Amino acid sequence: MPARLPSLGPLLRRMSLFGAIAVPLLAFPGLASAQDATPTIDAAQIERGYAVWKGQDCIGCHGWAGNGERIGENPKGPNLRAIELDAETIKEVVLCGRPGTQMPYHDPAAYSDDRCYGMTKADTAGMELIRGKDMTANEATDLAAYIVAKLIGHPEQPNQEECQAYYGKRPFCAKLPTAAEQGY
Amino acid sequence: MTRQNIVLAGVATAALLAGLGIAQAADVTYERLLNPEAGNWLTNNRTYDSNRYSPLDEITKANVGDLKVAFTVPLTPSSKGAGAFWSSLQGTPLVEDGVMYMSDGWGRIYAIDLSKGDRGLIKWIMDPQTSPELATGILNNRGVALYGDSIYSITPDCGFLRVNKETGEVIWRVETQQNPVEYCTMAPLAIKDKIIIGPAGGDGPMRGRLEARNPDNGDVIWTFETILDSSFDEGGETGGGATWVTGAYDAEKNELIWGIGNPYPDWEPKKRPGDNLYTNSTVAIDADTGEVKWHFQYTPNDSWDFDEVGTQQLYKANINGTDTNVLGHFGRNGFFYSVDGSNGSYLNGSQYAEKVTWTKGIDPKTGKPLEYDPAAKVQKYLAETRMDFDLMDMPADFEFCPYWEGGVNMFPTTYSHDTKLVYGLLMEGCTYNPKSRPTDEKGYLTGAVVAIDTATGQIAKRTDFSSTGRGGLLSTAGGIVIGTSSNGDIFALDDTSLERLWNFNVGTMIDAPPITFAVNGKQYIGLAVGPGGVGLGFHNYPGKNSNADEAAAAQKFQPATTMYFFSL
Ligand code: HEC
Repeated sequence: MPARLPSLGPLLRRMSLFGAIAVPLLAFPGLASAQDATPTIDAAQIERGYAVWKGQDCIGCHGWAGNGERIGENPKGPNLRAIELDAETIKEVVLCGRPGTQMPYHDPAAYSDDRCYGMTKADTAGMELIRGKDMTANEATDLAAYIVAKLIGHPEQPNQEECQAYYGKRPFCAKLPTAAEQGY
Repeated sequence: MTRQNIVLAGVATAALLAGLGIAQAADVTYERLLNPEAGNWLTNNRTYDSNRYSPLDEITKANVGDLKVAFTVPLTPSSKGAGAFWSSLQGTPLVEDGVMYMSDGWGRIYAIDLSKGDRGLIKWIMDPQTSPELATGILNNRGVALYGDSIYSITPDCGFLRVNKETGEVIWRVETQQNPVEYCTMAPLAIKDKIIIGPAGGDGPMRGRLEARNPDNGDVIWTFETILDSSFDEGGETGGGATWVTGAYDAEKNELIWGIGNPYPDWEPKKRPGDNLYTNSTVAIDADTGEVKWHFQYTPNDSWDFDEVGTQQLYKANINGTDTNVLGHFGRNGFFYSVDGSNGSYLNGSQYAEKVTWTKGIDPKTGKPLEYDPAAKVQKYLAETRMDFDLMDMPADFEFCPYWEGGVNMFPTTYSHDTKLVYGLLMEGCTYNPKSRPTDEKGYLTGAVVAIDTATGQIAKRTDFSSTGRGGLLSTAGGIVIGTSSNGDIFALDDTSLERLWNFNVGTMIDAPPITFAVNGKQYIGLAVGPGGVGLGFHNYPGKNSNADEAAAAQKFQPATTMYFFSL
């Protein structure tokens, strides 16, 4: 967990409360945790999730490989390859953001009612609340599936194959270790 | 006809048509770039010396109050790339013989025919189709270069393009990106038989460079690496030194005079013991070989993100009785510097920003900060302001001044041939953790235009305003300085008294510098309004005098992408 989280006291308590009562496994049986996710994942969904990842705004702050290597003066996002969140929680963080931090919300209607952590705009008064690129709930579901299947648990340094999947045949990918060298 | 004959015939026809007053572009030769026609703006800083001074004098101190919008031309709407920022218009448009060439944050180029005088007609749009996932950096392309019969530009993902000036067709594209954290925003500089480019991205683990490339095919002629290994005790992941702004060219000496960006990691100097050359420096480079002739470093072993990529002004000044070739530079660190253009030694200077807390001042002999210790691996400066943690992790009671964007950031400065003053557009204020910024006056950012006497390096005049200085400046033979600020004001100042003679507000932030040009004998001021990038976050810093209404409206500033044109 990033060091900043403890300072979020009341919000976090509300979040974990909501996390606990949120209906789990809406869309992915077998995806409740990172550990048992890989075997039963739907490849088409991961592919769709990857398209969302590439077209969204995550990369600026979390890096193209999700390892926290932000680009330029984007705010610094944590290494998503090292988190231990399940798909449902990731979806919630993506749609609702983290008020009081640089993590934006992506549901255009977030905080218009109590769908996010039970909070409305008024409850977030005085907190930093950043709007990211708009995203549908389905896109968030696919994106969370991708993050669980392809980022979480992977080494911080990306490999050549990941780099080529993202960038095509740019020469800098060759400087990275291969997937085989990383034991994949 | 041979190919050569066709080209020659083309040039002859162009010259003929130009003589008849019909818009038809001739080749932009090196000779034209050295000595541009008064009505044109052919290269990023108008002239190689970066002066951004125009000999046009139809608009004067006496009549500038009558300046009105002549017409506007919206470009493609802003959108976000793979990062947190809206694409912006931050470029300096070029104007050649009645046609404007403007780039946007996505690397599109627009050719706009201005010859009608009362409207701008988009002739063509070149869209490099940058895919959003490759638009990972800040999307604020700073302009294009004209050379020969072509346009040269770089895309956000560092594709180096040669484009047909008449049709907008891409003649070739060469990939130059060497590292995924690199992105490209610089307006290339065309000199004789070479196009100079370099990457942005020095807030990430990359190493900067300048490349001279062949205008015919894009091949590398030489590369200058901005990071001197021996000046970084730790190799590997440290570096920085991006080159994201166009430099100057001393044609007599055939030297490029270029500003180099901050070291990486930006805020943690202990991770990179050493002076970290050539970061935060001006370097003079032999334009034939790419070799360094001299350098001057402003903030060694920086911890405040004090890039020095901003305008490198070249002019002559009478320093202590001697006519001297001077490099004049407003440091992002709050100080103005005059440096000897023949060897890089410090001549004179002064503190131009009111609030400077990182050093007690500049050594009048060396030009180095007073606390600078050449023997130390890690500098101390004033310890209570020294960063050693990320901006977001700044303790609540910690502050440093000037603000991390300056002072004068890369927003262009200008040197007037008439007043012999050099003018800088600045931000005044301090850096706080955004979460604990004081909400009273202390936390405000304001702005100013400062005019420096080029002989003494001292402030001749200063005018303050309530919002930050962003966009840029130009000066003219009409005795005016045109400038912009983040509250959406474009204004004209008397070049001597700095009195504000004219003002127009566009209702959102301005991030791009103005230019001036003439079409059919009539003078215009042109400007892009297209806030985005880091700039749109500035609503968090209301100005000192902004009343509640203005501060609230600034919070709601919208991205925009419109070209404005003013005339009498
Ligand atoms: C403007 C920068 C920014 C953008 C854009 C951004 N994030 Fe974040 N993200 C952050 C920051 C900062 C945090 C840490 C928040 C905190 O302190 O709790 C974070 C946290 C997260 C977390 C929770 C990590 C944890 O350990 O609790 C996830 C998951 C996440 N982001 C995913 C995404 C995805 C997916 C996207 C794109 C749709 C995205 N982020 C876009 C900055 C960003």
